[in-house]
Amino acid sequence: MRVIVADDSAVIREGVVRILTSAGLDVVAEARDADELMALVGVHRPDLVVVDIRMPPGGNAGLIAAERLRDEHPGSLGVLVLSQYLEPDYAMRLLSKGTGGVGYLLKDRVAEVTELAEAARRVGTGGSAIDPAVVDELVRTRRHEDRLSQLTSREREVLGLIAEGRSNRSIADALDVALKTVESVIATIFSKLGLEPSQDDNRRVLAVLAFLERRA
Amino acid sequence: MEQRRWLAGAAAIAFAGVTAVVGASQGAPLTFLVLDTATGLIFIGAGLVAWHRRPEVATGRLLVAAGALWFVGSYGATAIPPLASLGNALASYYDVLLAYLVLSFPGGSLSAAYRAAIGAILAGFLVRTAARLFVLDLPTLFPEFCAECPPNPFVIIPSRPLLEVMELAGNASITVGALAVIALAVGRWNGAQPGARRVLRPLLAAGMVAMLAAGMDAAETAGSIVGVRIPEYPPPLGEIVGWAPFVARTLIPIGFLIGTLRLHMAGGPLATLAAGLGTAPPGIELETAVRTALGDTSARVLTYEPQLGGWIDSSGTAAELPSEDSRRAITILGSEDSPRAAIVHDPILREDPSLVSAVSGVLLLAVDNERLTTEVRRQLAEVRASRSRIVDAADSARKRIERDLHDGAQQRLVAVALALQDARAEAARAGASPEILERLDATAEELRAAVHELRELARGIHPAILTDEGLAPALATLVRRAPLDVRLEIELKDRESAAIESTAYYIVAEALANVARHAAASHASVSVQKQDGALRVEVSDDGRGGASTAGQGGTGLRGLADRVAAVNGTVDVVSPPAGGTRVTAVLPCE
Repeated sequence: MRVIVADDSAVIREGVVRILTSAGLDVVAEARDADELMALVGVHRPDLVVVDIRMPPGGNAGLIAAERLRDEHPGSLGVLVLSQYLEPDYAMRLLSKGTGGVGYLLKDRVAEVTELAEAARRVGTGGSAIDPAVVDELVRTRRHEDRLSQLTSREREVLGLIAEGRSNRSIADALDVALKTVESVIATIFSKLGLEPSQDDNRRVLAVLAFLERRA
Repeated sequence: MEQRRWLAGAAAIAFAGVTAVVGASQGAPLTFLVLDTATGLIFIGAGLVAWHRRPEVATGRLLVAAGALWFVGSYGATAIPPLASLGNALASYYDVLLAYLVLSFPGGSLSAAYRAAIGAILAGFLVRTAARLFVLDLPTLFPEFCAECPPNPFVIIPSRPLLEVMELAGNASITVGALAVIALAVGRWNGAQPGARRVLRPLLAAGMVAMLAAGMDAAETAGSIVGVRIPEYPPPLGEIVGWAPFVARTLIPIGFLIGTLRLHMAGGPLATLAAGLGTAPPGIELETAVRTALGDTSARVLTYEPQLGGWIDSSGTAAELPSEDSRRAITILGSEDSPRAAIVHDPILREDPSLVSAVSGVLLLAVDNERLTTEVRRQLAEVRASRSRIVDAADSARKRIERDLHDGAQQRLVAVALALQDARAEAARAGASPEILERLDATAEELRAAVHELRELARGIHPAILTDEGLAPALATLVRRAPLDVRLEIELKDRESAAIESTAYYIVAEALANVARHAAASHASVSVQKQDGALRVEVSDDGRGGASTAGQGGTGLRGLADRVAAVNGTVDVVSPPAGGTRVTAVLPCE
């Protein structure tokens, strides 16, 4: 998988490159700002872009570049955004632009090698990866959530993993249960919440997040 | 002066009373007595009023004297010799006084023409008096029809030809003088300044009629001597002509009273003046109002500007304070060394000093009010601007801190986490003991917690998403993180200014924090709407109530009050005990 890494901080950039490389991905270029990123994508045509949300020329240049890339290369380019903001809203913005190939990770996640590599792989192959902390914000809050009260705690856990963008297999591995079990639990969840069951992992991520984020 | 007035008034009225009694004892008819006395009393009454109003001017005293002289003439009809002669001789001198009054009112000096006219009348009267006192003796000179008339004790030369000459000369002089006065009065009528007309014209009219009567009377007497007999008027015209002199002379004091009353009545417009002055700045409108109130369309209002060290007129241009003369009087408001305003008006308005002073008072109020209002507005604007600047500065500082934390400390910690990660990997490869690896893992965990805390801190200082995306997502996060169920209703089409958005955000944040801390509520709701150009933010809960901006619960909201005021908004807390709490803020957007 061919990757371009964009971050204005050299330390972060180098760290990410090292982790991805040691996980077997091919980092073909590095960018220091949004403009450079766009140019390099045009030249190298990578499968995945890892981009910091906040980059020069200023403000949310990284996020804006990520959205543009999604618009310009739907389905063929995965965009993994690194952010220091625990705001589900940013994730939603990216997800709503279409299906597949979107990730939103918190910056400190880069120190967790396996998480980063897995997320990169997932997004580069057209899947989704939402940082568990972001999902936490939405699902696993202390507050008594009426909408989720009808779910068992197991179901809620599964819901969280769905929201992260994991596939059924990935969920089964994480919980150490059979694939069939996961599938039936998911079916139950979706019917309880009144959501359309969907074979497409990305669509269901969006559906779940939208459901959770929905302000009554 | 007041004592003298009371004395003079009392004496005059007493004299009137005595004369009436004497007349009654002499058999005078009742109607005559009533009218005669009434006329004289009107003179005296008007005179006393004028004397009270303007003690410094002769008008009042002249009128009172005229009233007294009126009654002197009444004695001419009695049968008591000395009184009858004196009465006859001194009759009608009030005409001289009245002529003087009519021409000189309101108290200026007379020009040569006026003096000549009055002089002619006076001379005529003197000659006539001399004739009637020292030459006329009725029983001696007119035995054919006046043998029983009372004799004249003062007679010196009883001679009919002399009498006729003197009467002729005297009356002719009076007639000429009267006509001259009428002509001059007409001139005055036409030349009266706008401010003076209201008072002057009734007086002049009355004066002219009176002079006409006096002139006709004298002419008749002169004519009869020369042999020109004015035919008797057939009744009822004859009756009217007979009464005309009375009525005519009575008109003078009445005219005078009417004039000064009209001046006084101008108090009506004063109320309008005062009401309209609330908003009228010293300017054209004010000047117009003053003109109406004073009844002087030539009046001008000048205001003193201390910064310029000079006067400005109603249109705001610099002006000189005019000097007083016969056409202009100046009333200065304020003190000598710090004048505030001035009214330039017709001198006749001095007849009613209370009017001028009342208008002055109201004018001064307006001038001061305007000055104070301008000053207050200016200061208020300065305070608002200053407050706004402070709040903006605080907000910028917070954003800067958040950005610095993000770009600085947070980033650094992530870099440290990466380095730590590398170190752990190295250590594992190099065969470090499980304890070491565990310690490194624990450190990594600590680091993660630190990053998390820093992230929360940064968001508490200023949530970046508020700047980037606006109120809706920022409030959604607040609401989501609240420890109780909160319903959020927000429908905003556009973004507002940074100041408004951050104020709204902090209000909700503070209110929700209070709910979590104190209210023991189970449900809360937040609603943000744009209504009539203002953002309306409401946070309500179903908890304990009893919150206020005072007390521990309130310090947070109180601290917001300044910020809310800086954007010209209002915030208010309704919190009946056990009735929940509602915080409502209205923030006007431009």
